[in-house]
Amino acid sequence: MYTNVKKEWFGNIRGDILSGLVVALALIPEAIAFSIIAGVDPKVGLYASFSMAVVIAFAGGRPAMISAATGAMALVMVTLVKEHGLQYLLAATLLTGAIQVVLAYIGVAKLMSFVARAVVVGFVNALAILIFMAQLPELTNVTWHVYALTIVGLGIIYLFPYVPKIGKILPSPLVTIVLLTIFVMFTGWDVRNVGDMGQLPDTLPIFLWPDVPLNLETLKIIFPYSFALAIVGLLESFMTTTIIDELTDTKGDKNREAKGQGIANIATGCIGGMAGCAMIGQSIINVKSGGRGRLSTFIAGFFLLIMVVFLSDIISVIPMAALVAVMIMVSIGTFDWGSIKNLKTLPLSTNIVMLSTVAVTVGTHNLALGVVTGVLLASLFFANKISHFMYCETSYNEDNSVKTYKFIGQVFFNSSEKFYETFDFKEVLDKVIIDVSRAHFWDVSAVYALDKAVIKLRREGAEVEVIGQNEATSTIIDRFGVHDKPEEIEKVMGGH
Amino acid sequence: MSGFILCPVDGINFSEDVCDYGVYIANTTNSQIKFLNIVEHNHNAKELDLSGNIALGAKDDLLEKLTTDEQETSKCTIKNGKELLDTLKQRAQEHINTKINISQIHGEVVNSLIELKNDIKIAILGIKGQGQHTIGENVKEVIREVHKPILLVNSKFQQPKKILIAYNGSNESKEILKIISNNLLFGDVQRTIININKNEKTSKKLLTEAKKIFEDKNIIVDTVSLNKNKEDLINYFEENDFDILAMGAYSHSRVKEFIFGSFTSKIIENMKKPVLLYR
Repeated sequence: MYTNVKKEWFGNIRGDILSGLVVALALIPEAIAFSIIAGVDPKVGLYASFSMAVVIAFAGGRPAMISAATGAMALVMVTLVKEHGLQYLLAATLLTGAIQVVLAYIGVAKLMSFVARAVVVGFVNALAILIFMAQLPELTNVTWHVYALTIVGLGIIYLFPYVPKIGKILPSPLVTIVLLTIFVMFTGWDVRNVGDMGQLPDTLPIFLWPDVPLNLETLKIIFPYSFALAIVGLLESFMTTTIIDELTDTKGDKNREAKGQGIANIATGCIGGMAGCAMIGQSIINVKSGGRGRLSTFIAGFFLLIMVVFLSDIISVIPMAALVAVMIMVSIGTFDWGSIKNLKTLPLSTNIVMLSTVAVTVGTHNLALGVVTGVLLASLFFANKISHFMYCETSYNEDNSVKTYKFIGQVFFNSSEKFYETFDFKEVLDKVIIDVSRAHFWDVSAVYALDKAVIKLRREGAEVEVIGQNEATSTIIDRFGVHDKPEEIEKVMGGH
Repeated sequence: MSGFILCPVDGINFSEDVCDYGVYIANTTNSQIKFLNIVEHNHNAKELDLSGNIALGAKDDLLEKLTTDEQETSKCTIKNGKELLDTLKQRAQEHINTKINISQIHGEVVNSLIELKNDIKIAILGIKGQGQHTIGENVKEVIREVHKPILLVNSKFQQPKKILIAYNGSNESKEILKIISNNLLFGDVQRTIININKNEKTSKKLLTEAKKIFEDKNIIVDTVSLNKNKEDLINYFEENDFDILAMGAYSHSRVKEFIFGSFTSKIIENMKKPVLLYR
């Protein structure tokens, strides 16, 4: 335990400090950009990024993962800010944290198993598209100067790393920002800069209880937003955890992460920051830069604040076009390119789930809705697939007066219709034997379909005998624990 | 006490001598021996890339790059470990009367040993020699968490002739008396129980109870009472040419240890000969 803590913090000091600095630099433009998406002053996002990163470094469950103000969360809070203002956003942030802590204690991480891989990919792609779309207002109705700056910016970001020696030491997004800022200052081009977008932090953050009336009315306003924020935040954090787990070949603790996200959001709400969560793009950058431990996250948050507070004059003259270039990079880097290549080879149902998640999210600007759609679709497809696992063997006695239907496989809501239609009601028989000893009845729909068939057969004049009904229905119980025992599973799967 | 003798080996710290001590104890206690090579993975980045940008497919590319890098290193570590195990097996085979097992696992030293703790009789660990180091966190954790006798090997193998058993009445030190008397760990050696105490009466009482444990099994032991500081244990050990020191370890909590430092750690760091510990 003690060695673990030490390893998680100080197992990779050099790598963590350097990567933390790279991330801190990369977080500044992002935090500003996401504040603008949410419709608040840049300082709200910058304070949030500081406190999210620093608190999660201690409380999180996934070392090396970066949490800060994020696009996913900013998109959810847009309407709240527009209609009720910043103070309600801060209150919503506190409530979001509280909800996340509660969810963590009831074991929310387990629910992640319902989110199929296709939904995760859809979420990531939708997020990338939304981050890109959020840059469009900066690129419409502007002079050619802005386009030129953005294109040059992107050029520097992607080409600078190829410069020998310094290419891999200096973060190229930083180089872009510095060069473009200097260029604009010299030429005096009249383009929008960060200072035009709202207030930047000039002091260290202070404790600030949200200035809202503490009544049911407030709760009614903020709860829907807080709930959506809590869900989106946890989803993105869990997904990022999975990505970092994969990249670093180590295992994060999702429930601890959920708790950590909650605590970090509560802290963030208390110092005037907007709700945040883990960031896919920044976490990848962190790992790529050599970050592996908690120290990297801490350094990122800590230096972000130091730089922002002391360099706020310089930051305010950064042209927005430079920020847009960085954000386009983030959106490109977040997009799951492999998923496009795989469209051809993956089953249609998987593709539909992924694309629907993207479509619903981009359409509604709400990642939670997109994920719910994806999960529902994936479950329906799954049910449909399982319903194929049922067939029937029929046999007759010597004089064809007694027919035996022997059912094998899974009978549940989706296959019960098929089950019923297997019976040939036109045949004239003395007796029908329905053998369901090797079938498995999962729910009441299955039992109902059997009853219906029995009644119809009897009405048409046949004697009906059902064999093995007890075995078939014995597991229609909601105590899932039973199914964990090998012998019980054997009973269920015995049908195949 | 059943179980096998576990020799985790890394090829760096006295692995051959760990093997020799292992063989010696396997013969004296008639138990099986297992050489274990733990392949530890360090997932820290090898080269610096602070370019800070992410392009299309960045995650997949990064995963591919990290996988390729680490695959090479891991393959090499596994190969070295296998060779080490084979060498040690051959070395042991010539002198041993019991069965030798070798195994290689992925994992992390402390946790791997904790998982095995119920099946082992004694673990033999190679550590750096005297004066070269402060005792590593891993070794400390193993001693604290495994709750089986641990022999730390810090020097070339020498067939033990004289062992010194430190006894201060604590549970840990009583346990070590039992372990040695029950198993005859080091075979036919001269055994001396030492108690360092400023109070002569207490010292005598403690030594009598310690001696009885051995006498009940018809084992001959000497006893020594030393009216000095406990740090003088090492001096006494060296002046009288003992080969192995046995003592209880880390009877204090981590917090206490953090504040006052640990006597056990101090002894381990300054001993030139192997130490048998139990907690």
